[in-house]
Amino acid sequence: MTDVALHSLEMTVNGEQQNVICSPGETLLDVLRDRLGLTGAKFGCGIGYCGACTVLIDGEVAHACCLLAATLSARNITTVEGLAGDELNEVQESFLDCGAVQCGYCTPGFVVSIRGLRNSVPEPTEVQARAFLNGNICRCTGFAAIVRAACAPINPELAE
Amino acid sequence: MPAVHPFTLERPRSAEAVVQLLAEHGDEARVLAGGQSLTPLLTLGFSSPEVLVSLDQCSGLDTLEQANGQLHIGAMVTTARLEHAAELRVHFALLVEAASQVGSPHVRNFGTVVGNVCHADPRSDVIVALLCHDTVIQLKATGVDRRIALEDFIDGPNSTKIEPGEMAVAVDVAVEANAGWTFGYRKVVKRAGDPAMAICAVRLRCENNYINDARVVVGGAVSLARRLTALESSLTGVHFAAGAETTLAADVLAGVESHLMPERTAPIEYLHTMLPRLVAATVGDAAGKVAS
Repeated sequence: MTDVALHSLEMTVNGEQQNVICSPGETLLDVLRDRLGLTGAKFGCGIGYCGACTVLIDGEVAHACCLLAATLSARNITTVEGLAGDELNEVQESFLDCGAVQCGYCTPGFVVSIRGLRNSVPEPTEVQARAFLNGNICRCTGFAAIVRAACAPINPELAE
Repeated sequence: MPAVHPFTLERPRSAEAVVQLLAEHGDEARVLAGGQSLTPLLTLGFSSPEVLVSLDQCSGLDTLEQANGQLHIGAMVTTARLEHAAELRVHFALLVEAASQVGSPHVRNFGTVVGNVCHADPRSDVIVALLCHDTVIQLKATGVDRRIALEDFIDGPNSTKIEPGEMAVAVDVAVEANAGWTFGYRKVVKRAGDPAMAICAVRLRCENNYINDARVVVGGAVSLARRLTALESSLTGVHFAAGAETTLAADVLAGVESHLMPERTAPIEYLHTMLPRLVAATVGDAAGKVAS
């Protein structure tokens, strides 16, 4: 990758303006993990199927493994690190309440996807949650608890 | 992860600038729209262009509008925009339904309708639905534009008639002059989110309880999604109350037999049993909507 021009671009990551320098072949996931040190989004399948790399781009869910970072200038990226401050957010609290974490590898992706869903549908039904979570896979197969967490009533103390 | 073959990324600002770059680089260049199919192909090493021309900075390619008897879908219109376009439910309810079944919300937020068509996957929801309409692809090259019907554009699995130097700038879908169309849409998948083993889309137009026009398309287990014209003829003139779904399995199999791809999907015996049932059920769905 030494003989291609590097790209320099501005993007907003978790509310902070970042000047990113990357090669054309780097995915958003590569840049987040290897250049910005944000390891919450995980590499899973690498083909936009499992959702372990889920981030929000301008508020909409996206597979970070399937987007070239250099095409995302001026976009607003939110990773799982950007969802909560010192306290856990309502989706993370719901995961604890529902026992929705097993090995944990898929968890950041699910949390970000459910945040994206609840941004537009604050209290989704089970049918809505299952349809939306088509882009995330729990290899431990703990889907029932995850769907319960996704459908939890709004917690007014934690709602964002 | 395998190393990505090094490439130069261009981000031109207009379609004219895109085709200039394509003219310059010929078949060493590829166009990147939403990237939901092409990016994995790049990272897995299945595609290794020298030059990648991204449309993300291009103006004028994100138009989605109905005008002059056409639904115009620009090259950067995402599947999610189609899915959520309430105004399209009047004439293009099937297309909206098919768009809502593409991949996952993640994929639909970035993947484009035109990119989906150019990827030419026989298992594409969007292509199967578009084949139920009169659909034309707008192609652009330096100094020359051309239009080609969708059924002529796709000539095999993941293969189209697009030439080096050409880009697809839009898909135009004809708005039907006649009212009264209903649709059915079904697909068979092993697991939610998997590529379909088989897809069927049906549109029927009925007057005075008789079917007087029918479109039936099958995708998935075939080398390219196709209309079943013999079955469409058989359905025409049928009184739907008499059970439009009691159609001949032979018509279904005649339309797809020589194009079945069991090695990619399921054993041939299974396809022979499943496909006629899938098509009959989908025709039944469309006919049922008329009756109710």
